[in-house]
Amino acid sequence: MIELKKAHIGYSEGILHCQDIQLECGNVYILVGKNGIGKSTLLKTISKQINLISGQILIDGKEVQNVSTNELPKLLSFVPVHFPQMDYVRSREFISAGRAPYTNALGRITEEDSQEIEHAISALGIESLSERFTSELSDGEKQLVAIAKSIAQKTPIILLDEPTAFLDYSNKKKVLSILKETAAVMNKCIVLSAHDIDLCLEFSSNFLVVNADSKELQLQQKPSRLGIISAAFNES
Amino acid sequence: MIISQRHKWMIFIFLLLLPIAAMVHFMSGHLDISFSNLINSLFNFDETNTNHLIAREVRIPRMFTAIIAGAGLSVAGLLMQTLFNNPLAGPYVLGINSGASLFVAFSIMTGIPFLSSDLGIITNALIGAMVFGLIISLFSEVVRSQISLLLIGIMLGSFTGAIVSMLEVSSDASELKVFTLWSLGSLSRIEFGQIPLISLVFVVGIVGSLFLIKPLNLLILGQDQARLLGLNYKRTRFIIIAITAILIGLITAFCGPIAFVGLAVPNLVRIMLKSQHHGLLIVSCAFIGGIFVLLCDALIQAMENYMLIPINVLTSIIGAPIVVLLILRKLR
Amino acid sequence: MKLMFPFLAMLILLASCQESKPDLQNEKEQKELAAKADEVPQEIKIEFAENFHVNSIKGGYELELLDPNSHEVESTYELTYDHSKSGDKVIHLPVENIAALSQTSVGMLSKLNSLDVITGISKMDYVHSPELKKRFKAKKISEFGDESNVPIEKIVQSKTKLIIYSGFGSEFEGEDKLRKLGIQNIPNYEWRETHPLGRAEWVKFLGILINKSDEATTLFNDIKSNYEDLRWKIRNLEDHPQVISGNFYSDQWTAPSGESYMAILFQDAGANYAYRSSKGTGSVFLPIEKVVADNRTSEYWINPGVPSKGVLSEMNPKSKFLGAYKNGIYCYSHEMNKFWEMSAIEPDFLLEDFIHIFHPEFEPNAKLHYYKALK
Repeated sequence: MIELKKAHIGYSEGILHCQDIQLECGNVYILVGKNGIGKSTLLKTISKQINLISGQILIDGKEVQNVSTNELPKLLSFVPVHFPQMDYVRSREFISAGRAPYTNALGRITEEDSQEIEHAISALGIESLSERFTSELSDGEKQLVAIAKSIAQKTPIILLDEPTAFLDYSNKKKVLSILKETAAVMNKCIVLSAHDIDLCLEFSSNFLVVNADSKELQLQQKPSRLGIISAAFNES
Repeated sequence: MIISQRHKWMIFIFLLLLPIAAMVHFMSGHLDISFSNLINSLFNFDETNTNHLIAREVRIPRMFTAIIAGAGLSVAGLLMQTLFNNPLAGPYVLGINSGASLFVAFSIMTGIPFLSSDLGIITNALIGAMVFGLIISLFSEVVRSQISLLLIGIMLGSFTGAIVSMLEVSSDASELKVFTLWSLGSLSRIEFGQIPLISLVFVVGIVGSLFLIKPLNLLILGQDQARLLGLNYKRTRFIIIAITAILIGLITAFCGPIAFVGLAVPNLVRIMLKSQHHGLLIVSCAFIGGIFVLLCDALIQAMENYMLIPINVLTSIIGAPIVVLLILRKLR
Repeated sequence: MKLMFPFLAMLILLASCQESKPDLQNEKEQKELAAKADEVPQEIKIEFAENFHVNSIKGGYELELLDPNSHEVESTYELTYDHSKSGDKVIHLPVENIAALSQTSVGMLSKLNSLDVITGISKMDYVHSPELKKRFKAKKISEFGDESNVPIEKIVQSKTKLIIYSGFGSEFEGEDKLRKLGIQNIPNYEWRETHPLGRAEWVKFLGILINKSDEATTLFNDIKSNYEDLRWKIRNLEDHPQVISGNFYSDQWTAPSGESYMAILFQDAGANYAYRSSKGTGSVFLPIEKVVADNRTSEYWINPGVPSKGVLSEMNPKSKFLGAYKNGIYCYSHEMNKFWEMSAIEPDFLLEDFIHIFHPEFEPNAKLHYYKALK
């Protein structure tokens, strides 16, 4: 569970703010808003990559600022917009990096770790990709591998920065349905930013909308397409 | 990260090739010295026997130095490339060698006895490598572009080059000579008696780097992902630079600057193994680096009668084209 | 550029005004010189030097500098008392103001008691001559720096007429500009000679320039007879100790070749130079292990190029395996300036040093001129 309490988010001056919002496990939240309004910044602030200006962000009741570097990766995983460019890393190896928070100082993979990795692979049905180099995968396949890594990381929260950005229509649908299923089956709180409002409405009824004028973040449950667009893009 | 059967075979082959390369190196010497002399010079040393003396005091230290220098530079290069997420990084390109050179120049040319003793030179080379490693890593915080970082490294190199020239102008002839000689690079400066101390420092560097396997494997995913997976980036960076400094400092102090090994070997190793498992990479870099310098030096010895090639020159002649090929591969 | 020409012209004018002043107080001397412009001077015989020829012609000499490899004429200078002649390679005699950028020419001029013609040298740090140091303190001479990059204005100001440079490697810069300003230059290629007496014989070249040919010839003849006397004296010594010279550079040993200046001195001093059979007049490069194997019993090691054994072992730990390491290393590093300034004109002293080093029994308490055992 993520709680945002009167949070002001941004770099030097607050660009995005909110009243109290609670994000529950079992749901997928779609973060929408204009370009440059601070969606990525919000996700990075929740994942402690950027400091909060004021207010509080709590993860499972713990303030993010106070969670240690070792502890955070067990609570939250983050899928960035771009898949890292790497030579000679096989998908299975990439997914196994999700186990890093649990392995010892030398990174030894235990029986339990291997099981989690296999579980993540089979959950996403990407057995056929697991022995291939990530650099040879298509964008859609990369996104699935990145999500599998997050699942192997076994965190209650998964944040994804525009996971559908570079995908074709069928891959967008595939990724969104996998995320929806993951949230429901594994009881995770998944937050993703996206621009495909129409498509996302098919998969989730929970929207985090950044108001174009007030820059306020609001949780809209069961919103209408029009409601989202008028708030986020100042259009009717 | 996964070690496949193929990887195990390759490591086994490297393990076999190293002693073969060492023997080729031993036999490429100018004089005809038999293996029995080599063995006897170790266990049954007779100082009055010229063959024993040459085997023990000239060839063995040179062979040893070639292995240490090749292995150390390659591992240090690998660490730099992973830390800065840049396949063209290397101690030489990033100016870390220059840092060591600058401090060694200070120690030789100030003429202060402690500073110009063996230990003084090692310490200075180590501190210099460390300081410049930290400088370049501070720059890496600001510039995210790979090319900019390399340019800054090159600038650091030219800058120190200029300071070293200034020192040269104001130092007296004999100090200058020692420094000039040092800067040519040589594999013959180590004495038999120094081998244990140098091995110790080398082992500290290599074993230290083996403890970095997990952070290095995470760094492959990029700095941000590595942090999100629990990596303490600043501490890791400091340790990586410290270990690089130990290896570079040691080698620079005894052999002078040797170019391109640290840049070319890790790239070659990655292509051969097709893996980013740093346990595999470190071990393979150590072996291939050692084999590479042994063979380069064997070639130098074999051609000694026809021409004089400093080791630094030969490694550049062979290394530079490899690096160009790598760049072309990347661009394609 | 437009401003440059009037400026240059003015400088030349200034320079020529000063020249026209009656520098030669003695009218008789002036007449003598005028007479020389019309006659052919006595031939100057060159016995040992291989890289220059002097032919007497009307009004002075034709000087030919030869290429040391092909022995063909590389350049020809006319040294003349006839001041009406002019040209790129014409030098008016006698030259009274010389910038002696070549260190050996300083030594030769001092042997000719003519340090007063020197207007400047390259760097005072390299000077040995106490008299020259005094003259520098009295501001009678200037420092012009390295010959590859001379300060033109400073040279003009010093009223220099001729620059003598060593010509190691790099080209002489600013040649054309200096000629336009009436300042000639000529190399002192004494270092190209391989015979020790050949080097010393270049003093004759300097003698011509400053109108002291006779003195130069006498000086050279003394040096020659000293040198040959020394050789004669040791001709019957049985013992020829093995000598090595040079040092390790990078991974190789660099030593004088068998036909080089040093190799000839070693042979003349009754030593057995380890690499005497190597060809060439330059250097030979040898693998470290060959040098160690060849010289475990060598008694002497000349010119390691370092000031102390400490530096030597730091520079190359393999040194201590050479037989001469214990107490046979000799070097001139404590008298560096003296060596570079004077040794070319004192080959007899060098030979004497080597004889005393290689054959201590010959004259047990002899003092060495240049060399000292390395400690």
